[in-house]
Amino acid sequence: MDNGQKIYDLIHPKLLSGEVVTLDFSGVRIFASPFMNVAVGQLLRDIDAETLQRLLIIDQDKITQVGLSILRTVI
Amino acid sequence: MSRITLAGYLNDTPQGFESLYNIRQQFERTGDSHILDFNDCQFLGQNAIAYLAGLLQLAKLQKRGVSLSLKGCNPKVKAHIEANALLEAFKDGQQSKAKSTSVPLRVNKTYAGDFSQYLEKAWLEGRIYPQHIEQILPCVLEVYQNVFDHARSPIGVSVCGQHYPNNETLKITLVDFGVGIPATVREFLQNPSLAPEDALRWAFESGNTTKREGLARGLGLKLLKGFIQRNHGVLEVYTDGALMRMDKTNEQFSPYAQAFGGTIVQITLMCDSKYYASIFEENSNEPLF
Repeated sequence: MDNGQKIYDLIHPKLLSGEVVTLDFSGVRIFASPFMNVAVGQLLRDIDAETLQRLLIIDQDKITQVGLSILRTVI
Repeated sequence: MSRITLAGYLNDTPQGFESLYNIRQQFERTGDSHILDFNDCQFLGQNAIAYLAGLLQLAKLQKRGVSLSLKGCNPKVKAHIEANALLEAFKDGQQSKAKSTSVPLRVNKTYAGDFSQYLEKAWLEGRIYPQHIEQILPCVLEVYQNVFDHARSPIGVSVCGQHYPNNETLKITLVDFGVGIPATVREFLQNPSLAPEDALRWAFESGNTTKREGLARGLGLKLLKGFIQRNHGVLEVYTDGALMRMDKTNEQFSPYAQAFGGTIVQITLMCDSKYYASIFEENSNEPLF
């Protein structure tokens, strides 16, 4: 969760200011739902889904199937 | 000094768990120092190792003396105790060097960042397919995290496992001596009369969490249940006044007479790859948000 908070703290202000952010999970094998919840899920508190869809890019070729599934579950 | 006799089969049957609770009760009731006598003990399962290690940690915190009597002990039981370094294991963070089918005993008073590696290297690697490790690992990691978020356990958590190659099963048991799940749920819901089995059922419903600060989760147990069902495994949770048992076809919450002051989570996995359908749905092309 600490790592998730670090990600959130980095990307949240950029997204709020309208910047496009790309998350690259290359090399990450193990994804825990608390990490995804904190890093990405909590963005939905103050950024709407449409805006996140436009600004937050997650390269689906650079994340494992399990990681992507956990991300979808969290969202 | 009081002598506490550990007799018979301390395995992970209901009778085995009941024997462990009786040992704790004797420990709480009698004296400041104890001898745990293994002379009549015929079998010591991974759940017993984890539980006894927790008890030894509790003794240390309460400044009680504990020693083990192994004279005349069944040689296999003695070997299991020595392989798991039961006496040394209550030093915080100590991990034993266990024999090849054992998953070494580990006691963590606080959250340990390397627990994921322990699960992967000591429990799973070489026993289940590598691609399945990344499915099960996050689920069990969350059970571990839950202890430190919710349990208020003075010993933290005690973990031990065992590989049974004859029936291709892999078990791991996590023990804490905290307040128990029903108490936490009752406090959160402000419902002191909630039956323990109903409180436990609430805890297992997706999205429910008693975590107040930070971001609510409530996903880990859902993912764990899904994995175990598809794996044809078994999930058992013993906590104050309630028991949950889940396998592929059945999920049952029931009252449990023993109130031992804590929670035990035991996970049984099937090692054969034919039992590993993915717990996750096929990823669609739908937008993420």
